[in-house]
Amino acid sequence: MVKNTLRGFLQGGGRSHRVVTRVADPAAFYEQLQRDVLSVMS
Amino acid sequence: MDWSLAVSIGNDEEVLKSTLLRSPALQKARQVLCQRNFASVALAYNAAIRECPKDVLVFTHPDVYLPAGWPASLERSLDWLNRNDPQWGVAGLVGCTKDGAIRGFAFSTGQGAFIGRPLAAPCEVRTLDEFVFMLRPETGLNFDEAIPGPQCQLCTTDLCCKLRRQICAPMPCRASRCTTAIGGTFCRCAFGDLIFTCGKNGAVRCLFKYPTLISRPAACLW
Repeated sequence: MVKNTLRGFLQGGGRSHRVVTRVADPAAFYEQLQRDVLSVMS
Repeated sequence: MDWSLAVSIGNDEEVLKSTLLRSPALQKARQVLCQRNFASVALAYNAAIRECPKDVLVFTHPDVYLPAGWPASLERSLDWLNRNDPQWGVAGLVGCTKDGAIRGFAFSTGQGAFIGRPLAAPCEVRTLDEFVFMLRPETGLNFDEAIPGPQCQLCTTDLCCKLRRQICAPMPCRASRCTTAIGGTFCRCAFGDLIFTCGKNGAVRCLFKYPTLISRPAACLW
């Protein structure tokens, strides 16, 4: 575990994995998800 | 139960305005605390705890969108927790079990895919991702201010390690509609749940801070 984690840390250059993401219109995007996917799952 | 929302803002003011602050769910929050000019996310979150000592505090990243149905789902989850585990400490939308399995449900805009699947009820996990999580006010917990950075991904894992007993409370499906949050980039998890929930920098720190708790690797997530 230690070896793997340190290896990953070094390979990643110490960067955080988190990248701020955005969609142009999150409300419209969510509505599309609601129509196409979430309503089917409910 | 009243809830307030806190978000720590570094250099992501634009995405905050275009995403989180456009969330209809925020209308139901008692307060929305946009924490600016703090040296670290831990300092920003602790200030929010001091400002809202009696509320359930929901912490989110700025690139998260919470839809209109989210407050009702939150309320159901909190009701469930208060009935079934009134001593709960930290809850969130997506977490990992000690075996590295994902529990919870959200859409990752970074991956362009759903993470996990809807659960019928909250369940226990070992660590929580911090894109959305909640803290019960009576716990008296606060964040480790030695953790650096405006978004270092370790704060929630640190709380979870402190508690050793966490509840992952994803929003349960309703009969006719399923709600979830969208946002965030989740990690390509090569080394298990620690990397998933707190990133590589955080995982290394956590590894040294809680060496006995983190004693086993976990499965790859995807």
